This record gives sequence, C-alpha cells and structure tokens, in this order.
Amino acid sequence: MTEPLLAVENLCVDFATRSGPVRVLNDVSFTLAPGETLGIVGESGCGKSMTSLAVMGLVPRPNGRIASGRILFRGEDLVRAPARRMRQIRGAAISMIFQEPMTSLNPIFTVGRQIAEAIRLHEDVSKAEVRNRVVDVLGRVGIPDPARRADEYPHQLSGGMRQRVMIAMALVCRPQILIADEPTTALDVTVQAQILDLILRLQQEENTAVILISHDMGVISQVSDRVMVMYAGRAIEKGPCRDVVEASAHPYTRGLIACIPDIDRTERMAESDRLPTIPGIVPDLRALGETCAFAPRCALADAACEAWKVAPIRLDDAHVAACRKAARGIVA
Amino acid sequence: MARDPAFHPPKSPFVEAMAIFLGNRAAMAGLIILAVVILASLIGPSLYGVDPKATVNAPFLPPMEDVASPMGTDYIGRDVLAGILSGGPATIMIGTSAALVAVLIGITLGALAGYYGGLIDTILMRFTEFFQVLPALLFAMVLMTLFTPSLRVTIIGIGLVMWPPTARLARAEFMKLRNMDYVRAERAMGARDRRIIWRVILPNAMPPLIAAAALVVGVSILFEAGLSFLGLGDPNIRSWGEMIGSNRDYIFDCPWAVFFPGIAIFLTVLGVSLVGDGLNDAMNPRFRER
Amino acid sequence: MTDGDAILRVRDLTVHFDTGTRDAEGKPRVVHAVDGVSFDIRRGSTLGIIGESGCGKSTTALAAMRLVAGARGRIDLGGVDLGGLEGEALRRQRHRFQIIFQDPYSSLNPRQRVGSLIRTPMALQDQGTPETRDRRVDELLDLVGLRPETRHLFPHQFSGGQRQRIGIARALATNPDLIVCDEPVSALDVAIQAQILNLMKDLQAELGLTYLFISHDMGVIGYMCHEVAVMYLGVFVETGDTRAILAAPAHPYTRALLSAIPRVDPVNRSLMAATRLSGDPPSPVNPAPGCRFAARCPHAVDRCRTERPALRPVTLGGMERSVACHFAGEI
Ligand SMILES: Nc1ncnc2c1ncn2[C@@H]1O[C@H](COP(=O)(O)OP(=O)(O)O)[C@@H](O)[C@H]1O
Ligand SMILES: Nc1ncnc2c1ncn2[C@@H]1O[C@H](COP(=O)(O)OP(=O)(O)O)[C@@H](O)[C@H]1O
Ligand code: SF4
Ligand SMILES: [Mg+2]
Ligand SMILES: [Mg+2]
Repeated sequence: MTEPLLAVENLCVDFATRSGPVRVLNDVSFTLAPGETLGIVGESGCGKSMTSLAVMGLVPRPNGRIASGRILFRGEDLVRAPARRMRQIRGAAISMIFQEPMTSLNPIFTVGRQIAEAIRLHEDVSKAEVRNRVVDVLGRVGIPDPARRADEYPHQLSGGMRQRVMIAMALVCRPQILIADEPTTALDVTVQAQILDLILRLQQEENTAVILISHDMGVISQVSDRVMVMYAGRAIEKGPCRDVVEASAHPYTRGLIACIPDIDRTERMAESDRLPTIPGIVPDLRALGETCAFAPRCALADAACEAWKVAPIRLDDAHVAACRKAARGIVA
Repeated sequence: MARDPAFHPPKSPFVEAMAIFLGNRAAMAGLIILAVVILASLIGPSLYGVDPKATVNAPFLPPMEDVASPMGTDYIGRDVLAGILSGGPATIMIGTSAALVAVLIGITLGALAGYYGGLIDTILMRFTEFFQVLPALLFAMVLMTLFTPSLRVTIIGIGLVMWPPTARLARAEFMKLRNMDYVRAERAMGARDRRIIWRVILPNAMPPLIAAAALVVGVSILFEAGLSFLGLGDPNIRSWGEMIGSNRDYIFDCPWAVFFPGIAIFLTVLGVSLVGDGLNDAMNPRFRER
Repeated sequence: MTDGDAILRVRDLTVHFDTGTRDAEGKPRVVHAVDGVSFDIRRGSTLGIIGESGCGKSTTALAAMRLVAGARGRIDLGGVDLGGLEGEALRRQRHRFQIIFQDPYSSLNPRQRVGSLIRTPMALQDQGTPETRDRRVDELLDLVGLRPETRHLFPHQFSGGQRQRIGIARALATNPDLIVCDEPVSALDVAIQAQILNLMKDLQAELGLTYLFISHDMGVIGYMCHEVAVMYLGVFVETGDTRAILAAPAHPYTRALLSAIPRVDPVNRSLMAATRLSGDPPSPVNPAPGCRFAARCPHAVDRCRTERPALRPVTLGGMERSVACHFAGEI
C-alpha cells in the first residue's frame, strides 16, 4: 500500500444532550490511500455521517466536539488545524457531497453561479476562466447542454441532475479526497447506477480518493476497494471489500448481509422460508460502555463477551474485526 | 417472534411538554409576572382597601407626595393605585373573553376552510379577507357607537375584529395536517369528517393555536385600552384601559394616572406573550427530540 | 392476471390530477398519475407493484382504498364494487380493506395511546363491545410481537420498527379481506426491515391475508410477492409471476430496473457493467402518445412513439407473463 493520504486515528466525538454527554464516535480509526475507495456502511445513527463531518471539520458546534484522536491529512493533524486552514482545505483538497441534493443547493442562485463560487473561494482566476471551468465541469458530470444548464436554478433540474451538479461542485477544485455521504439514497435505482458510475469514472480520471457512505451493502460491495462497517459509533469490521463481504468476521456484518432480501438468494427460497434477522434494535448510545455493544443481539455472545473490553482483533494484515471470537477462529 | 426490547419509561406528551415549559426561563418569567398580576388583582383591593371609584384625595396629586396615595390621584382625585389593583380582573376578563371569542370564530372557520378546501375554502377566505381589510379600530368604533357600550359589547366587538389571523393560522395547520398519513388512516378506518376535524386534526393543530391565542389575549387588552382611550369603553367598568381613557384629556397634568395603568398593561401583555411562546416551544414536538 | 379466485379485481383504474395550469399551447396540464391500470389479486396471495418514485404506486394504492377523489374505474372487492359506493355505504365497507403506510412517524396520531390507536378501527366500525375490543388489542399486540402493556404508551416512545408493528396491528384489527401496504419497510433499516417482512409473511400464512404490496425495492418484492406488476409513468408495463419476471424479464424497462440493482457481490460487479438507462423518468404531465418508455428505451423505433402498446401475454424463458411492448419476446 502507498503512504496513506488520510489517516484517522482513535477518533472520539462527544455530544452534549439534555440527558448528559453521548459518545457518538468511539475509537474510530481508518486510512485512505490515493485513488482508493473506502466504503463506510451501517444502519442509520451508527455514526457514518459524523465520521465524514469530523474529517471535514464540521462537527456541529457547540454541542458536539472531537474528544480525542487525530485526523492526519498528508501528515497534518486537522483536529488541531485553525479554522482558517480548514476553510482552505474544505472544498479544495477535501470536498463532500450530501444525500439531499435539493437542500444542499441554494435555491435562489443559478447552479453555474454556485459552482463559480466554489472556484473563487479557493482560486484567483478571471471571470471568463471561471465560466469556462463551470461549463467544462458540468459537461464532465454528464449534464447535457452545460452552457445553458449553468444558467438554470436548482428547481429546474431533476433529482439526478441536481446530484450531478453537487458532484460538479465538489470536483471543480480537483480535490484529493471526495466524501460522498449517501449520494444516491434519495435517487431511484436506475439513476443511482448512473451517479455511482459517474463518481467512479471521475475518480479514475483524477486518481481521487473516495469515501463512499451508504446504508446499502449492495452499493458498498459494488464500488468499494476497502470497507468499514460501523455499529453504535464504532468501526466493528474493516478490511478489503471481498474479505468483509464474503468472509465477514464480525457477527453483525454477517447478520447485516444475510438479512438483505437479495433477489438471487430469495429466488431459491421456499414459500415457508424466512429471512435471517438480527433480533432487537440498535442500542441507545447513552447506555454504552467499553464492552461489545452488539452482545445483547448477538447469537454467539456468551458471558465472556459481556465482560470483554472491545478491541480490534487482527485477522490478517488488512482485515480487522472487533469481535472476541473473531481471533480464535470460533467464527466461521 | 422477536420482541423488541428497550422501553423508555412511560411519559405522556403532556408531562414532557410540562417539563420543557418549566425549564424555559423566559416562559417562567412570564408566568411569574402573570402570577403577580393575578395575585395583586385578587387580594390587592382588600389589602389596600381604598375605593377606586370615590374621590379620596385632592385631584392631580403626584405619586409619593401623600403616603395615602402612593401612585397619586387622577383628575377627580381617585386613587391610581386602587384603580390599578381593582382594574386587573376587568382588564384580564375582557382580554381573555375577547380572545376566546376570536379564537373560537377563527378556529371554526379556519378548520372548515383548511379541511375541505375548494369552494368552501374560497368562500370562507373571502369572508375572512373582508374582515381583515376592515380597519379594525374603525369597525369596532362603529360597533361601540351603534350599541350602548357595555362589557359584553366590548368583548364581542374586540372578538369580531381579532379572529382573522387565527382563522388563517388554523387554515394553514389544517391544510398541512389533512394530508398526514394518520389522517388518511382515520379515513381508511371509516371515520366521519366531524371526528377527523375536531378529534384528530384539531388536537394536533393546537400548539401553534394556543401560542397565537396567548398573543390575541395581549392584543385584546391593548385594543380595549385603545377603545377606552377614545372614550368608547363602558365608563362603568374600571379597567386599566378605562383609566387611561378617562384621563386622556389631562395627560399632561397627571401623566402618572396614564403611566401606571400603561405599565400594568405592558407587563400583563408581556407575561401573556412569554407564556404563549413558552407553550408553543413546549408543545412543538421538534423541541422534544434529544 | 385474471383469476377466478380473485378477492380483488381492479379494472381501468385511472387517476388524473389537474394542475390548474396550462402548457404553451393552452392545453390544461394534467398529471396522468394512474392511467388505466387493471389487476386481480388471489385470496391469500400478494401482488407487488414496483416502480420508481413518481410512477403512480401510491396513487394506485390510495385509489384502490377509495382515498383519492376523482379516481375512475371498477374496484371489485369480493363481489362489492367499491368504485360505485359513496358516503355511508362506502364507510360501512371499510372494515374489509385496510392500509399500512410507509412513514412509521406520520402514520400514527401522536396524541393517541397505542391501545386507543388499535381500538379505533373497531370502534368506528361498531365491531364488538368495549371489553372485547380491549381483549382484541392485547391479542393484536401479541400477534405483532409487542408486549400488551405497551398499549398505554404513545407512538413517539417506540422505534421505527415498533411503530410499523403498531400500524400492522391497527390494519389487522377489523379482520380485513385485503391489506394495502404502501412501501411499509422503505423507511426502515435493513435489519428491522427483515423483521417486519418476516412478520408480515408469518401473519399472511397464519391468517390467510391478502396483500397489495408496494415497494421500489426489487429484493423486497422478490421476497414478498407471488405476482408483480412493474409500473412506469402511470401504466403497468409487465405483470406476472414474480419468479418468472425476475428470471427472465421481458420488458426493456424491467430489464433495466433489474440490472441497476446493486447486488451484494464484491467480485462480479455487475452494476458497473449494467445496461444503463440514460436520464430520469419523464414527467407524467400530459404524457406523449405511444409507449411511455419510448424516451428512454434503447429499442425504441418510430412506431413506439406513436402507438401505445397494450399489455399482452408473452412467453419468455418458458414462463408466461403480460408485457406492454411492441417487441416483447423478440428483443
Ligand atoms: N446534534 C446532535 N446532537 C446529539 N446527537 C447527535 C447529533 N447529531 C447526530 N447525533 C447522534 O450521532 C449519532 C450518529 O449520527 P450520524 O453520524 O448522523 O449517523 P448515520 O449517518 O450513520 O446515520 C446518532 O446516534 C445521532 O443521534
Ligand atoms: N394530490 C396530487 N396532486 C397532483 N399530483 C399528484 C398528487 N398526488 C400525486 N401526484 C403526482 O402523481 C404522480 C404519481 O405519484 P405517486 O403515486 O405518489 O407515485 P409513487 O408512489 O410511485 O412515488 C407523481 O407525479 C405525483 O407528483
Ligand atoms: S414499445 Fe418500443 S419503446 Fe416501448 S418498450 Fe417496447 S421497444 Fe421500447
Ligand atoms: Mg447519515
Ligand atoms: Mg409512494
């Protein structure tokens, strides 16, 4: 592996709530190499978005704060970087696209103007040059007739087109890292396929590193090089996509994959067969300690699990799982 | 079958709303102001024991000049403090009753317009607009001159000019809520319109309406003061508004006779609107999360 | 899809919404949300409707429930034409068909306790006495996997999955012949989704329920539905046995839809090689004549743009289904 572009180390994020402090990210570590796609997957509320916001320096203030850990971007710790430096990095070296393309665009400005803003924030270029780049980037994200579309307002575009505009805005300054937080969740599957295809194509052209966040294991398995599975604020399994999906070491990862009604699998099911399920619901983050948060729902849990202080167990040099039984080969 | 674990302790929306309300400093300040005003009105007159309608001292007596009349006297020598203490119930009564009239009319018309939409909505909203473009004060003045000013005429008159904003708010809430899935579910279960309007949508539309009603109370008190100031109130009732109204010709000779009732009105309206805002926040589910 | 044993028969269901605006030529702009849809559902089976957002799935569901004003067409539920009933007569029939909504947060009245929520349909339909209703509430809560003591709680005290269970209990309360489910698991996380899907299947097996099941997720449809109708811009483009259609889709749109599904498969990355549809679905306002799919169809020819293809039986992969494409079975 080449030297990591981004290394997140032992990141903890706390939130102050009416019922006391809550740890929404707990000891999260991962790395990202240039040109690589890291998929982050998990159920809603597990901390996927918070992870990306932390990297962007956008943990909501004043209630949220990074309690400990480092976020090293090419060796520079972004946790300690001053606000001015973060503004320089955001949108230029690291940029982000969000789930909801409608609310992330300003309805009262044309899309061309909003992309131009993104350029002018970071670069000192002439008006004509800006315009050229706006039209060029709209064309590159597959918007037909980009010169005309640049002068349209967000509401004049379809959902898929708006998401393309968001991608154009994120890519116009040629970032080294693109964080896409559920970029296709609000879109239909046929449009989702187009958008994912677009992100990967642009990634290859520029060798951009991508963090793709999704709750959909299908999307993650189709596009990621490496995968990180999150549960209740922790990264519970990390590794190459194929290992995590096909040789999952954590019972939660296996449950998450098994409970998807996948058409290839359900085709072979009998009428009386049922989907495998993970019993119960995700825990209240307030009630968590240092032990395995999945234990109450885990079919393999025993008394020792209840007492075990969670730690990443290394299965091989790339595959890690936070399950006591993963190390001993008890887990198939 | 798997049973979902983890139950939060039972807490009703009402209990939760109360907890939020009690934790809201501005609302608590408003509540304290109102409590003081009401307490003063209830026990003040008997404690102080001065007849507010009788000439008890020299006219135009400034405050603090005579310990017997700490807030001074008005143009015919009536005690201002006695007027303030005894004017509270009438003022608050007029304010709340007029607001009640306005809110009842407003909610009824707004609910029907918002729920049914279409032609019913168009007709009711034209009617509302008609009342809204009428200069409120002029309309009330006409009412007060047509009928002999009395407590009832004052209340109905104020109520009649105050309802359109409530109607608009109720209409907007009903239009929003009538498309909620739980309203659809009621219809799917075979509920009749009457039930859906009054038993399903109205309770859910109440939070903003209660907050608005609190504002209407405040505005009604001010309005009554305005009518009295113009000499259109019932002269037999000593409200704060009437105190201001009857002294308006002597405002430069005994400003205190206008100033103190003005302060009383200001504090009451402030208290009511702070409590109203607090109620709105407490009953707004958005603030309940986390 | 016609069947002698059908509990629900819908013929030429049509819902148009007038937007109240006019296009450049002065013609009224009308949303053709549902345009002449017909289907049957066998008693005890599940018919799925799949399609992308805005294609008219919810409108079909609500129209079948007689909850949309201005819908046209026959809706025959066990011999009674619901489409012809109004007012009190319709109200009296409502215990026979119930609905489960997508959003577990907005489908339950936040001011009603769970017990009262589930009791309401029985009370409104004068079923039983107050005591038998209370007993039935406990029975239903148990049936959907909730503790009977939870009847004193308010909806916001439950998680999304638990709320959906409450919605299911409410829909079951009057022992309906038909339950219309409008994306009942779309708002839930996969783990909870699996629990709810299994619950709905168990209830069907136990109580012999009939579902009209709407979803935009082919995996969910494949698991839940005996038959499926693929919907595009207000019309059905392919209907038939779910397994037949999944194994050998005949309509170009069904094929595109299936190939766009991201399978959980890190090795065979079919998504990136998929036959890709360009563009978004066009607007359902005053749709062009001809095939609704022509604007995005890779096989479209002139005939497709002028002549609307009707649903007709086609055999593909040895299995029969109905397809609305001029070239079905040939392409
Ligand atoms: N402003 C906030 N205050 C308190 N908790 C928050 C806040 N924002 C997010 N959280 C909590 O942080 C956790 C992680 O949230 P998030 O990262 O958005 O999850 P995901 O993106 O995986 O769905 C959740 O449990 C959420 O409730
Ligand atoms: N009340 C309405 N008035 C106008 N248009 C509507 C109304 N309800 C739905 N539509 C339109 O009808 C079409 C179908 O909507 P819907 O049935 O909700 O689709 P789906 O459930 O498949 O996403 C959409 O274009 C939608 O905008
Ligand atoms: S009728 Fe023509 S346009 Fe429509 S699906 Fe068939 S080939 Fe495509
Ligand atoms: Mg998120
Ligand atoms: Mg829908």
